[in-house]
Order: sequence, then C-alpha cells, then structure tokens
Amino acid sequence: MSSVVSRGTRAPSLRLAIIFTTLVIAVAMSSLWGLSVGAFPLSFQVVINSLLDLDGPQQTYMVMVSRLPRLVLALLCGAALAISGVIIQGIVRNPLASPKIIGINSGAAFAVCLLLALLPQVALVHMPLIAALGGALAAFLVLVGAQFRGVSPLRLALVGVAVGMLFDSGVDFYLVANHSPEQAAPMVWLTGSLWARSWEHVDAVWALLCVLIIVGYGLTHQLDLIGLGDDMATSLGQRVALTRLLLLGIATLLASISVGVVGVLGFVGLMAPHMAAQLVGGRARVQLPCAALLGMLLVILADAVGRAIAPPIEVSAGVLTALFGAPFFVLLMLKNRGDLQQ
Amino acid sequence: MSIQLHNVTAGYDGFKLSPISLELERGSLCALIGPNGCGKSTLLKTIARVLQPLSGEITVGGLNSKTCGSKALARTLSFQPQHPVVPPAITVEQLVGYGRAPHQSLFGIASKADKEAVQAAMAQVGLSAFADRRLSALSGGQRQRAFIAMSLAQEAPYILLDEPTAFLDVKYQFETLDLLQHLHDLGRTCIVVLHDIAQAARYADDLVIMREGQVYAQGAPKDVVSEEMLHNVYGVNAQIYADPESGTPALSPRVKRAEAQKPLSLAAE
Repeated sequence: MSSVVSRGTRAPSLRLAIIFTTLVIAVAMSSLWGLSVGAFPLSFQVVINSLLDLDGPQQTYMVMVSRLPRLVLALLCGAALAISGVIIQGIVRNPLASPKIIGINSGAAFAVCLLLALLPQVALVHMPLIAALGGALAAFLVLVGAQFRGVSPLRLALVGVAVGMLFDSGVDFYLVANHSPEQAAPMVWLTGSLWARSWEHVDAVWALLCVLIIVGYGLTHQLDLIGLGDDMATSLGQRVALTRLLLLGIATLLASISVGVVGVLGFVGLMAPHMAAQLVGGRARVQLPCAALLGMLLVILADAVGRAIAPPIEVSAGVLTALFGAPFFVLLMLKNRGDLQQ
Repeated sequence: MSIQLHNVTAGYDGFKLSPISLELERGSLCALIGPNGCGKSTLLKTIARVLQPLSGEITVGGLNSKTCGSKALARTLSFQPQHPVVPPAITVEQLVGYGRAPHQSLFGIASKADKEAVQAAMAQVGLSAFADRRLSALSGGQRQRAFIAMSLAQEAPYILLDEPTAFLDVKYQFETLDLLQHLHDLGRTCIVVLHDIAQAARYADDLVIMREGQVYAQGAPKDVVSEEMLHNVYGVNAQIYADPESGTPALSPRVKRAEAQKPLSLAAE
C-alpha cells in the first residue's frame, strides 16, 4: 500500500520541483539581462561586479540607482498582478477573468488621474496609495452592484465590466482635457511603464506588497474551497461571503497598488495565472506561487525588451504585455470555447 | 441523536416551504421524493444550512443549527449539491482532500490523520487507483464517486445528497445507489433526494414524500407508496406491484389504449 502511495505522489512532486527551479533560474537570468540592457549596454560581468560594488562608480550608479529599482518593482508588481489574477479567477470561477474585468485597474487609474488633475505637482510616490483607494472604490461599487441578489460570479464580472468602463471614460476625459506636453509623464505611466522609477517608489510599496502577497498565499486553501462552488464551500464549513470579501480585498489592493506604481500592465493578471494552471494544475496553493514567478518573468522581459528594441528610446512595458497578451487571450478563448458555451 | 425539524419554513422569492416538522433517524437511509418543484431540494439545503431557514428550529445530531459554528456543523453533516462545480485540473486525491477542511485550520495543512482519512475514503469508493487522475479525465460515475469520497473524508455522520443519480446512465445510477447502501451499512446516515420512486423504495428504509412545499407522508416504502399517493402527489394513474427480488413497491403506468397506439403506428410506417 505505501509503495503505491509514494509512487503516486513522487512523480508529480519531482515535476513540480523541476518547473519551479526552472522558473526561478529564468527569473534570475532575465533579471540579469534586464540590468544589462538599455541606452548604455553593460556586460553581465559589469552588472555582477556593480551589484557587488566592485566596479567603477559610473557603472555602479547605473546599475544600483537607475536599473535595480525598476527591476525590483518589476518583480514586485509582476508577482502582485499575477497573484491578483489567480485570486480573481478563483472567486469569479472563470479562467478569462482578471483584475481588469472587475474594474480594479480602471478605478486605480482613474483615481490617479483625478489626483493629477486636482494637484498637478503631486509626487509620483503618492500614486500607489491613491490608486489603491481608487481600486478599492471600484471593487466596492462592483460588490454593491452585484450584491442585490447575492454575489454570483457572472454578475460580479458583468458589473465589473460596467464599472471599469465608467472609470475608463473618466481617464479618457482627463487625457483629452489635459493635452499638454507637461502631461506626458502620466500618459507614459498609463501605458504601463517602469521608466524613471527609483528607490523612492520601491520604499513606498515593497512592505505592503510583501504583506499582501504572504496573506494571499495563506488564503490559497480557502480560495480552493470557493472553487468548489458556494454550496459545497459552505458545507465544508467555510464562511463563503466573508472569505470572498477578504480575498477580493487582497486582490484589489495588489492590483491597484501595482497600477499606482507602474501603470496598467495589461494581461499580466490574465496570462500568468493561465500559464501557471497549464504547468502545475489548478490548485491555488501551487498555482499561485507559480503564477507569481511567471508574472515576474513577464514584466521583467517586457521592460527589458522595451529598452532593448531601439535604445535610447523605450517602448513601454505595458505596450509589450498587451501586444503579447491580446493574441494569448484569443487563443485562450478558442481553447475554452467548449467550456464557455456550457 | 437524529435530525429534527420543528416548524421550519424556508425558500426564496416565489417559493416557500410550509412549516415542516420532521424527524430523520440516525443510521437510516432516507430518500426525499416528490414531483419537480415540490421543495425537496430546498428542504435538503435548509437542513444543510446552505439555505438559511426563515423560521423554525433545526437540530442535527444534537447541534442547534442556528447557533453552532460552521466548522462544527461541517464535521457533523456533509452536503453534496446537485450540480457540484468541477474545478478544472485538480486530481481525485486533491478533491477528496478538500473534504478534510472542517478538520483543518484556515491554511488547510494536512495532518497524518487527514491523509489517512483521504486514502480510506478513496478506497471505500474504489478510486484508490485513480488518486492522481484529474477529475476532467473521469467518467460521470467515477466523478460522482469522487465527490462521495470527499463527503466520506469529511467524516460527518450525516451525509446529504441532492439527486446524486441525476444525469447518470442507469449503470452508474445503480453503482451510486449501491455505494450509498454500502455507506449506510457502515453506519452513516444518508439523506438523499431521488427522482425514481421505485429506486427510492428499493434502497431507502425511510421515505419522505413531498408535495407543494409540504411533507405529504413519511414512513417505510411499503407503507407510504400506494396508488392513492401516486395519484395525489404526482397526478398519475399507475399500479403498484412488489419488486420480485426485494418485495419493495415498484410501479408501472396504466397506459390508456388510444395513447399507447399512437407511437406504435408511427413506428410501423
């Protein structure tokens, strides 16, 4: 009996170990590449020496002050968006859902635009907090709108799309009404960019994001139970409404804080959870960390590729994630056609 | 120790149960039957507290359903909805493992006892060899057994199932009912919503017959299944005969000649 049990479980866990090790190495390698590309290309040797403070002051400055903070933000926000996506897909029980579909991204973006319209000189560092408020407002509206007859996942998604569009129109209005050269920075920010991010931004968000990521991981078992349906989760002793609210809150904060610091990086919250489900299965406890690594990878690569295409010009990371993400979304829909029709 | 309902009403817009008082014995295999829309699912969900009762008292094995904690209730009573959500890409063992949730902390970390309960539950339904199979790769009958194994792993003395035989081939229907019989023999109390009167009479030792949100009759199949009941509850004209093997009531419709001939003559053309 015991030999049967161990044979049954060893192979998958070996597979998991290989997948996670590969992903960690991929994240490390692409980080190194991300630190080396840009207007002034550096060799890997120089990058590593700079990290260890062995190189000249100019290179060290470029790596430590200019490129490392944006790498750290790419790692944090990539993970945050991916985890937010896993949670939202789990709550809504739809593989095509993402933070965007619940209107969170739009709410966050709108709040930042509103802030810029009212206080044009405000420092970028305050954006994450304001964005979190905007995202939370959007999530709250969606919940209120969906709650009239008890939250059904479909209703949540439909109201989410409506609320998202409402906030998007606000963002568009801001952009049209403030069409001047000095407004270029928010425009770049809106397209999802890590341009000109500094340690100041990292300081503003890292602790909060880390706490949210850890709490999110702690709740993966509850997320799995919700995946069995409300009735089943209830009969397994879960307080479904409360748990869903908690999870939605975490997903909202993760996504909107990311929007506040790097803008809208479209499709990361959709792609990463999906690729993770393909690789390691749909159990949140394993899927969530895998998606987090994939999210990091996607954002680092999008940022690095954007700088490598035509230096010194930077293509926004958000443009690239959307460029990859749109066809991915269509593929996903074709693949899920059977499920969606049911 | 049994399940007791005292003047319970429940329902949603447009449908309400009339006040129901009922006692379901511990250790019985009880079937809830009745025509579509008579409230049997509503009653089952209310007992499981998936649906909040509007009034009345429910006690489950000594627990007051209104005041007891959700985990305490889940350790006493397990409920399988009619259409369980089948999460994509999870294995049988993982699904059965979720049945341990009421015995675990928030984080769902499996103890040795949890793992043993999961293995035992899979063995009882004959799915041990399928532990690493994904649910999506199973037949309808196997999937049903996996969900029942999940209820078993929950180690609750009361198991409530809402139409576990719906949408299954007759082979899997019998397989599922045999499994319930087996669980009953092992001492679990099973309360099952069923559609087929003869199947319910064949397997259950206690029948609760419902009509229009009320309990029409409760008792042993031989005592409550009658031609009069079929007429009053289902509005059908059928005759009852004893099942040749078990002696339990089975039924056959009294077909009017004119109606019976129509399809025959069509088939002949």
